[in-house]
Amino acid sequence: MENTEQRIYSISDLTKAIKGELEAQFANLWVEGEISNLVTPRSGHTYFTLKDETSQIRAVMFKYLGSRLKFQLENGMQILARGAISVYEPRGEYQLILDYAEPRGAGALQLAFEQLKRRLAAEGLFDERHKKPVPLLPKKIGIVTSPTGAAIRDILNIVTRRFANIHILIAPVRVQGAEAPGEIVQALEMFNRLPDVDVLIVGRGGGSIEDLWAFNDETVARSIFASRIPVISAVGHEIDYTIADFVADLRAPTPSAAAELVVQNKANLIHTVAVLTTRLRNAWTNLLARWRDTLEQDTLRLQDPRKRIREFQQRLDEQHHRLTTAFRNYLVRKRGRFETFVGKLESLSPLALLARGYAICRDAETLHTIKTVTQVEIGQNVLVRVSEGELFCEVKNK
Amino acid sequence: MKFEEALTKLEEAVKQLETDDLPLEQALEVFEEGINMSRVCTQQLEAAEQKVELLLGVSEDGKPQTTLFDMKTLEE
Repeated sequence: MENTEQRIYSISDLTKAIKGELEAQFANLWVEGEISNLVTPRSGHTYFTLKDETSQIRAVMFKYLGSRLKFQLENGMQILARGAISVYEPRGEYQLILDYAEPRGAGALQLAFEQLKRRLAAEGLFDERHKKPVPLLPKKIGIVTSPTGAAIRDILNIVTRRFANIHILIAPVRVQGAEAPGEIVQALEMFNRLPDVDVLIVGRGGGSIEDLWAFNDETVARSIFASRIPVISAVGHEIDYTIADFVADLRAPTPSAAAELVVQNKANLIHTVAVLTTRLRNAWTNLLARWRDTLEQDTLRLQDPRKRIREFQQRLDEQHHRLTTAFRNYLVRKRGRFETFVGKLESLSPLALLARGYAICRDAETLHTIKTVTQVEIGQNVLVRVSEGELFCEVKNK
Repeated sequence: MKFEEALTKLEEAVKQLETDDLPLEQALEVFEEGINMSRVCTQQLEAAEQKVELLLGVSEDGKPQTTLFDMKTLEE
């Protein structure tokens, strides 16, 4: 035998050996490439090829991992993926088994961003309850930005164009590059040692995601969080979101917007105060008018009874007069009638008749007046009443 | 007094005068308070002066070290 010293592998052994080597060496790796030949059979697993200009490798993402991704894998997409090499022994083929993927572009930075964001969110740095209210009328504003950048130019343009009359303090810092985070942190700390700065604007103008990276720095995020003074973030354009935006008390979509927020507020506030003051004066004037009306009505109501009392008094006097007159007249009239009556009475009195010579004869026993002769018998005693006396008589004849 | 506080008090005074049926003396107090708050707000709105400075540092006792910011450096 020519190769006695050489080990002869069975296919299985060889494959097993290769599998062991490869899977040990490429157990956890990041890989970047373009997706092609993507298929998703009924199993739900996703099979595709990752390739670059000269090479390609088969890859699979199992269903349960694939469903966790925040995006859909597609042909032609550049991805950054994490996984391991696996050798499929029955066919002697190797492939990548991926457990994470993200669209490439800013892949690594994006990954770092997502990780930091998740971590700080878990710590509660973005919680609403930590957000400080931005003052309505800041008198002194601190700005952390480059003194030569687009951000400060935009902010000052707006502030001066609108005669905002605001005291602005600029802490000049670099806003990109390795030194930027440290300078931003230092500037934030500096402002926080001043007693009278009402609000801070931290930001820069637009740029690539790499340019904006200082605002995704953890130390910057933590110093924004630690700031005693409310912080408005104003980084890049409206579409750019940085960690600073999440941790700031308020996010302005751009530096111009941050300035407008402050300046706009002032113009609005002047208007608001003017409107409120007018309303206050009007309300007061209305109240006064209302009270004047009420007062007049009350006065009227007060005068009325006095007048009515006088009227009553007059009526009372009148009535009294009429009553007394009427009574007097009544008395006079009555007296006249009484006198006539007395006269009549006197003329009718039997005494007057007696005085004129008439007499009244009465039965001596019954005292009945005797008006006819039939009322008495002969020999009966009668009483005869004459003027000034009475006679006791006996009927002798009739 | 903070601007927010004065503004809130002004708003309250307006609301009270507009809606509540206050006796004359109390209404007068509310009105005067409102006018005062309006004055405080207006003063604060007018008070600040435009100034742009560079902050170079802060001394140990919390005093800012500043220099006037030259706006010309911004012109392109």
